[in-house]
Amino acid sequence: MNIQEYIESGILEAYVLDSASEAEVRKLFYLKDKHPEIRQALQELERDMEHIAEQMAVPPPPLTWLKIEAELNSIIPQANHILPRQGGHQDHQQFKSPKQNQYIEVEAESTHMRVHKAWKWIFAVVFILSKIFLICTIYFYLENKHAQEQIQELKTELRSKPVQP
Amino acid sequence: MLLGYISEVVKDQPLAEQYLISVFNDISDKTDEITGEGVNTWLQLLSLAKSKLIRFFDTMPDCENEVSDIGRYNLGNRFGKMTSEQKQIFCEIYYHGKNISQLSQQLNKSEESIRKILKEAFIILRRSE
Repeated sequence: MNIQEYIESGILEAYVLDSASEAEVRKLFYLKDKHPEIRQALQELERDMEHIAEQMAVPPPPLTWLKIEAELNSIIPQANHILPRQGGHQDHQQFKSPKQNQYIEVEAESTHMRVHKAWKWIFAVVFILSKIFLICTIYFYLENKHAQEQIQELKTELRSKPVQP
Repeated sequence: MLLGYISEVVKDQPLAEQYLISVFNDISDKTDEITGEGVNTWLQLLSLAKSKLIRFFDTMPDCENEVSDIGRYNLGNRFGKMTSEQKQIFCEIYYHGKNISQLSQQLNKSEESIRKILKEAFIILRRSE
């Protein structure tokens, strides 16, 4: 087969415009893997096609994405609702496909909270200060206790000494 | 890009938006097909959009009647450099979703010659970029 003739036949153009027959597409995929020239020509064509489409691009209205999201959200509950009732073989297979079984919908409430990283240092400072205050409290408590004992001793000493005229 | 193409076809912004939403609804089931390795995502999306527009395509008049008014499509400047046959074939395939075999019957030409003309139209399009 003459590869250049094949490339020039317009089959690649028909493919990128989705107008080639299934047999032509199968043949193209087979030849594309076999001949790098075909692969390269197809990639260039695909890029050009994309570029042409880019030039015709229209920015979507601001609410379009919200509408798409709403539509998708309305479809998901419907699909979940329909699933147990569907008896059809095709639908059964569709919903039981391995790809979809990889995900399980889980309703979870997290017990964790997210905080800013700066709080790490604030917590560290608070922790260190609390330790310093604790040590100070113990120190002054012991100091006070010692002073009280000394006062008590002095009082006892004074009481025990006879008063001299 | 997809909205641009759909808008070009339907020439009605709210309707184009509806088609876009419909395409996105299907994307969730076809993520692997669309984003797989070696797959051109844009072409897959285009194909998906064309499949959604099939019924609309049926309601469109043939491009033969539109060639003189081909400026309705944004490719207007590029179309100017094509022959009327090239314009018609590109228009029928790209904007009206027809395939080579349908066009072959419609225009009473062989599929080979349709592909050749399409190829020539593409060469003009790519040169005009």
